[in-house]
Amino acid sequence: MKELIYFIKKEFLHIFRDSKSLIILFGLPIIQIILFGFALTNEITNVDFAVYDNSKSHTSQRLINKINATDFFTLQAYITNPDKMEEALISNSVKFVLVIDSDFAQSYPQGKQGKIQLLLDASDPNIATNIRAYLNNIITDFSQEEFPSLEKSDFMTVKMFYNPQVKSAYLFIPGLMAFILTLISAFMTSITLTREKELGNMEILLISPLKPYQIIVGKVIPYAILSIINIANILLLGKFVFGMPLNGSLLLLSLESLLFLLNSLALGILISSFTNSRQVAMMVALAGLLLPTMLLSGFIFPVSNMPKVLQYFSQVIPATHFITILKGIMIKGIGISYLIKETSILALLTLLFISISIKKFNVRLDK
Amino acid sequence: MRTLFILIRKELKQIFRNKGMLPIIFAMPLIQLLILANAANYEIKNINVSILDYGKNDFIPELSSHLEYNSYFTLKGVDYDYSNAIARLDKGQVDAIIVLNNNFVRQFNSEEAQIQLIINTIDGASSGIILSYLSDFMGQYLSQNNSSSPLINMQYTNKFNLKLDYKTVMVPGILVILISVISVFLTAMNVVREKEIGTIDQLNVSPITKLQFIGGKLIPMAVIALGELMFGIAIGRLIYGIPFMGNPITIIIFALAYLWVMLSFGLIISTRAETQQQAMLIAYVFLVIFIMFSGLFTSVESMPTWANYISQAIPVTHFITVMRSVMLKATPLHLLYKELIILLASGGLLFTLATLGYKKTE
Repeated sequence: MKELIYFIKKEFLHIFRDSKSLIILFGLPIIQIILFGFALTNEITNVDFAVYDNSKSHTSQRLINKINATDFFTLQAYITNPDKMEEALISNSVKFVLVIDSDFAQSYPQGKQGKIQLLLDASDPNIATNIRAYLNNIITDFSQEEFPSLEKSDFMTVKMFYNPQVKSAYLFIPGLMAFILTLISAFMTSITLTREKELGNMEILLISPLKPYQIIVGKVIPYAILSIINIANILLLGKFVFGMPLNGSLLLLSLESLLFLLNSLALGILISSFTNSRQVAMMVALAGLLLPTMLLSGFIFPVSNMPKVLQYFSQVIPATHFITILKGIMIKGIGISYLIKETSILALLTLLFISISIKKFNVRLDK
Repeated sequence: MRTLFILIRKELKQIFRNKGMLPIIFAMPLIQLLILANAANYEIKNINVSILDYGKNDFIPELSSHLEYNSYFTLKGVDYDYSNAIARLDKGQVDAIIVLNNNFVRQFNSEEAQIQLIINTIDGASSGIILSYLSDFMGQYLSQNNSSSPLINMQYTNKFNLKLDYKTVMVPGILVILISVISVFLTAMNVVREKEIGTIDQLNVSPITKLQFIGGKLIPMAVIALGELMFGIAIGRLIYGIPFMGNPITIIIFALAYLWVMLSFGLIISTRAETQQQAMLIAYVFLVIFIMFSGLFTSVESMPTWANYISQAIPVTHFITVMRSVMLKATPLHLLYKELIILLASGGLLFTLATLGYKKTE
């Protein structure tokens, strides 16, 4: 036991000696949370558009002004030649062209529908869908203003549950937390173990009185402590900078975070048990995990939108479950009884990683 | 020139000799491209809804069959009290609840029929879309009994991507990111590795100029990355049927300019870092920022103004724009001069910094 404590002390010395890496390890999560917490949203603003107005009437002008006056859309140009419509889209100068029919203004008095057409740049389907939904609302408002007599009472009310203001920070911060923790913990553990192998120090360690499992524990504990500080930082930032709620129990949140941390560290050990080269370990931990953790975990794209095969695949990504747990505890305020499935999958994955590592871990000098 | 050629050959030999890295450089990006192209999707296919009925309304069967008939919705059940309905939401079983109050039937044909939609916003990206689909659906359902039609009829055409297919957009974007990740990480580790194992001293005392040294590092990586890009585009076309409408030469010109920027950037990190681990961490910080601000996953249009500036300063943003424009819209080179100028200018700047950062006399 005493040896282990000395060993952990030595590891801490190694970590503190490399001050640049240390600054990155603590600074990175804070910078990322602040940058992305404020920048990532799904609401569109300032989308550029052009108008091809065949009606050239006061009514059409009022409609254009109304659209332009919102925060969502900015009028870039009036197009007078229909051949130029395509070019405006191709050159990326506008996202859509609004075409107003020549008898737009005359249609109302005769009880006919006024016609407008929308040419959308659908090369980004998400924006295209959003533009259409926003415009629909504006146009409904517009026709009610123009013809107050036809005004309908609002028969439908909407209640946004859990996140009434649909704050993007609520959605992205749990994801960011899982993302940052996975990559940093897995990266640091895998690199610290492979370094000893690559430099040949592992052989020295193995003939020391330390048992192999003690070496691994001693290597991992310092990073576990660093990651706990990171978790605390992220949670505090979420609460005080972005106003993330904590509707559930803090104890449960801490325990689940520890479980996830253990999982990420185990993943790092797993990676290092497969290779003796730091380069390979670093590339697998960063380049290999970066996009899958971002895209398959439900951090950015909802898991329910994926094809069935990928939904199963996302179940083996630990971050998927941790994000569900975080959102559940912090936003929904639900207790452990609702989260048993996610928690047990995380625990199972952790056990799986550890047992594979134990099997693969080479304690002998030659393979 | 001969020296440069020999240096390039040395680098290529070192890359291909390292059997552990080969699958990471060549296979991993392409496998990820194939899998992840399916994951990046905001398109809502299946919205789970339930009905909370306070008044035991007898038209529930009719509403249910309408919901079932609509391919977007799956009806998970009907509840008669609030706590049961909310429990479904808590368990994540449903995305939305349609609440009907107790005198809904009586008011059904009047304009005061009260409906409440409760939307689960926990999966935020989609909650707005769920709301608009569901309120469209309910609006249509209610107006069946109501002859009034909207005063303004808006028709729309989805140009360049008729079916709003996400893969068409995501494959070029993810490909760009995978190539950037691989090439920046590899160059960032490259010089610092020579420092760590000491071979940099041998290079320093040899009669190689700075420019030859940097060129010898950049060119092999650029060749590999360009090859992967082409291969990725071909795979996207063969497997996912991603169109390629524009001129391939335009893509190659931009790809070279883009790789010049990114590889110089990797070299700057590499010449300044002390250990490979530091280099990787620094490269990682920047790559994540590049990915998130590139507008691929959350569009540039939805960022606040200050974030827009960051996004414009990032080479990835411009190259993704170019890839999309050329592949989907067949945008000719002369309409993309702005992007080309930005890439060339930042490439020149970073390349100079990389060359200055490498000191032979250290």
